[in-house]
Formats: sequence, C-alpha cells, structure tokens
Amino acid sequence: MDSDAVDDPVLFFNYHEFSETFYADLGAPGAPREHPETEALVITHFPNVHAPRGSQLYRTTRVVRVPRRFDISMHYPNFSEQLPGLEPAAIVAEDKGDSNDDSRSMMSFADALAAGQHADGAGKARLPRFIPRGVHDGQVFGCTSASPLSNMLTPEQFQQIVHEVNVHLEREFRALSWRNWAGILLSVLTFGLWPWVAKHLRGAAPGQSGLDACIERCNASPLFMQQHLVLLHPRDSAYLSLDFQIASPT
Amino acid sequence: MRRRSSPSTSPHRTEPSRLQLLLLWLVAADADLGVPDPSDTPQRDYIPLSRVTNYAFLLGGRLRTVRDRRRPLALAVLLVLVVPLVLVSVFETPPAWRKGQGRRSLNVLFYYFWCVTLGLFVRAATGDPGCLPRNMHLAQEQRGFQLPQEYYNVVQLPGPRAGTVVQAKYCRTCRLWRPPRAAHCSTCNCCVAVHDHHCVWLNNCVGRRNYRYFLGMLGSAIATCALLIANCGEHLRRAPRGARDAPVAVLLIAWGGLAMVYPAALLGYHVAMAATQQTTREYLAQIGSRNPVLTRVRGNKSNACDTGSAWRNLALLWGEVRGPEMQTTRTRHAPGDWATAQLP
Repeated sequence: MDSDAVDDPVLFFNYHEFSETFYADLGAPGAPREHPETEALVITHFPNVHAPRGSQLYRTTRVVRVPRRFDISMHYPNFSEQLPGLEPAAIVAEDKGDSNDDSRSMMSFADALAAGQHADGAGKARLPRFIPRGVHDGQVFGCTSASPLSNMLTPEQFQQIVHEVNVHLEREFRALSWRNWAGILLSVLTFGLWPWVAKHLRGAAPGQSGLDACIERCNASPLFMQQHLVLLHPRDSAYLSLDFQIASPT
Repeated sequence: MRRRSSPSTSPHRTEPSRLQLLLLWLVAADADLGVPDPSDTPQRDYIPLSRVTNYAFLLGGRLRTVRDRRRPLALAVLLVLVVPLVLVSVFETPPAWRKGQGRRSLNVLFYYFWCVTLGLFVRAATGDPGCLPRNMHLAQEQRGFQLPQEYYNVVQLPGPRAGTVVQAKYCRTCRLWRPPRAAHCSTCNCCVAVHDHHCVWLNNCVGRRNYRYFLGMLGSAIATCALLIANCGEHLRRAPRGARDAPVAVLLIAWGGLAMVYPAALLGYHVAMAATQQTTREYLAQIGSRNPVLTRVRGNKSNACDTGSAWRNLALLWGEVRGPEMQTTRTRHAPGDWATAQLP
C-alpha cells in the first residue's frame, strides 16, 4: 500500500478498503476513541447500496466489494480472483502487536497461493479469518484485509466463482469477437434496429445471458443459501465492482 | 414541475395533476414531485436523475439533452442539416427526376445518407453516452457519508503489460471508483464510461455508449456533403448557361464544401487517436492543450491500453461493446434508491 516506493513493481490491492483509527472497542461500542496506527480497523464491508435506503434489507446486510483488475485486459471488465485479504498488497497482521496466530500466518498462505501450491490440510488450518476487533459506523471490522467472505468461502471456491464470472464478462464485452462485429454489421444494415430485434428474438428469457444463469446457479447453491450469501449481478454495480451481499457480521 | 422543494419543507405533497404529469413526461428538467410516498408506484429513474444530473429528459426519459439555454449549438447543427435538404428538394430533385440522366440515383443516395446522418445525430445527441449510476461505492454512513482519506489518493494498479501502471480515481461527486477512461463531465454532472469528450455541438457527452454513433455521424455527414456536391455539380454541368441557370446549385456546392471540412477534420483526428489507442480526453491531456489544431497525434508510451498495432487499436476503440444502459432512465425504483440519491 505504500506509494513512495517508486522502483518497486506496483502491487495489486483492494482499493475499496480503508483504515480507521477512531473507533469503539468491542466491549464498549458506544465510546469511540483514537487508536494507534498499528491497531487501525480495516473497513472491508460497506453499506448495501443495492437495497433501498432505510429498508429492512439495507439495515441487515452489507456488501463486500471485489475490485476490478486491469492486468488481464483494459478493454473489458475483469474482477480480482483473489479472496479479499489475499491480494499481494493486502494489509496483514504480521506487524501488529496483538495479532493472533491465525492472521499472522496469512502472508505465508498468500505466498503459497502465488507459488501455485494448493492449500492442503495444513494450509486450510491457516486460512485468513475475519476477526472483529472494533466497531465503526455501527458495524464490526477486523484489523486485516480479510473480509467476512473469508469465513464463508475458501480461496479456491472464491476463485472458481469469480473466474466463471470473468469468463462470461470477457465473452460479453470483448470488442474483437465475431459476435460483436456481426452485431455492428447487422446494426448498420438494419438502421440500428438489430439490438432491438435480437432482444425480441431471444424472447422467452429476456436479458438471460450466460452470466445471469451463472449467478442464479451460484445463489441457489447450498453454500450460498445456508450462509445468506448473495452474489449480485455486476450489472447492478455498473460493472465497477463485483459485490457479494452478506448478513451484517456480528 | 420546476418547483424546488426540500424534503424538510414539504413532507406532505399534493398529488400532481394529470397536466403536470404530462408536462413532466414531455420535459423533465430539475423535476421534483416532492417526497415520494413509500406506498406509491415507484417513479421512473429519469425524474430523480433530472435533479442529480444536468440532463433534461424528454418523452418519458427516452431522450436527453444537457440543460444549456445559452448555447443551443445542437439546433445550429440541425439547421446546417435541414437547410440544404429543403433547397435540394425544391430546386434540385424535381428537374433531376424529370430529366433522369443518371442523376436520380445520385439524388436517392443523397437522401439516404442525409437520413442516416440525421438518425445518428439524434442517437448520439439524445442517447446515453454511458453514464454511471451514483453512490455505487459508498464508503460509510457516519459524519454525513464522509469519505476516508484513502479515497482522495490516485491509486496505482498493475496494468496489462509488464511495467504498465493503471491509475484509478474515486469520483467524489458520484461516489464511485472510476475505471480507467471513465471521467466526470462537469457539464452533464455525471461520470461517463470511456469518456471521449463533451461535445458542444451534440450538447451531450461522447462516451462508450454513443461513440460509434458519433463516428458514424461524422462519416455519413461527409458522404452527404460529397453527394450534395456531386448532385449540384452534375446539375451545373448540364445547365446550358452554367451558374446563371442554377444559382442554387452553386450555393449548395459552397454549403456542402464548407460543411464537410469540420466533420472530415474531426474524423481524421479520431482515426489517428484511435490508432494510437487514445480518447480525445487522453490526447488533449497528453499535449497539454485544449486546441489540437496542427498538432501531430502521437502515441503515449505510458498508455496501458495501447496494443502496439494500429489496426488492433482502431478496432478495439471503434468497435467497443456498448454494453447495457448502466444508469437506467425508464426503470422504476422504489423510493430510497441509492443510484439516484443526492448525498451531502
């Protein structure tokens, strides 16, 4: 996260998260106080802007935002396939005084993933966890980049889900594809009526692309249902981030 | 329809009349129906959008134009389009149609390209340039949705090729992390995906969702002018006493020649800029001037979008997928929708 290191290669991180030192301790949620930098909370989940303001859903849910990445392509949306907290420049607990063993070992786990090693039994025991440390904005947060998603999905499950979304996005948004150029040609020939015709030709399930089905399948899976986890369609966030709706952590 | 009422002063609104609703459907500018009643049918998005952006929406949110009463340049463009059509229809087409001699096909082609130009002009000028919905990346609720310090930074992320860096900025007005190439247009007051430029002649932004219409309009405008000149030139050539027999043809040739210059120059720039994978905005930032006249278009070494092949660059930028409308105007959302909310 340090920007003053000019010669170092730029590392990827979740630019949605931020740190907060003025927060309340878990034992005294009504009395926020200033904390040292080393104990800063990392804000990893955000208000659910996909639910109407003031609604029951808004009050009881939060979203974890998976950032866009640009190392694959600049020309179509692509989301980070690393579970939040495992990005190369994620904030880890290694230099924090009160860190517990779980979070201390995260760096080694990220390194193991980067090296292509699969998490074995021993690795799974060292999975990064979301451990609440303080209260901010009426919500609990931990001191590392690990979001509540870390307690719901394994890095492999997360990678698999986001990868599938990315594959669909590439198919939908890649400019250099037969589908796109045939669409442009047909639009020219039909005075721009083609998108409208195509929409009605698809008929039965308007707007049902592979991505819609993929997200529906994901949300209907027991893994998501049991944990009240909802993958929101990237269209809902204008393809700016991939939002996972979670129950407000306690 | 234009009354401004803050939620605190009018908690109980009166029901809008049918006439008010019809006027609102025709033109919604800074429209306010008062505080929506949660039990009401949700409003279409264009009504709150006409408040949070600078757009005025016409025909129930189907068309849009920026509220700008000082410079109605889009009307000037319409005039430049319509005048030659009227003159051709009155002075050129009837004799050409009577005499034939190959001028009929030239006439038909002129009308065809004129219609295409007008259609693309309307689509580019009144369509969605790729506006992004607001508040997608709200950070927190407390202290009036205060932005954290980190959101003021320009974030550097790895780019597609080794060594390239992509910069991301947070839009403090729209409250979202802008993807590269998206920019906030202060005239339209919204963030536009792959923002090319704000076009005063269209009175709209040119961005991801109308760039192809803009380019098509330039191309067909050039073709229309060329066909206008060809039509009138042929008329002039066949007139026994030359210009004395066909004064309007001379006028139209001059009109066509002048009207062709600007679209042709603009299209030339867009070919050169797209071949080096630059949007107008990026190019103007690179040369550090708002006036690119007589400046050679060069590639930018730090441009992470550049593929190194001019054809590939051109196809990528000109054939960019339009994608769905991000900030919908016709969808109904329940009161309390964040994407159209005005936050402090």
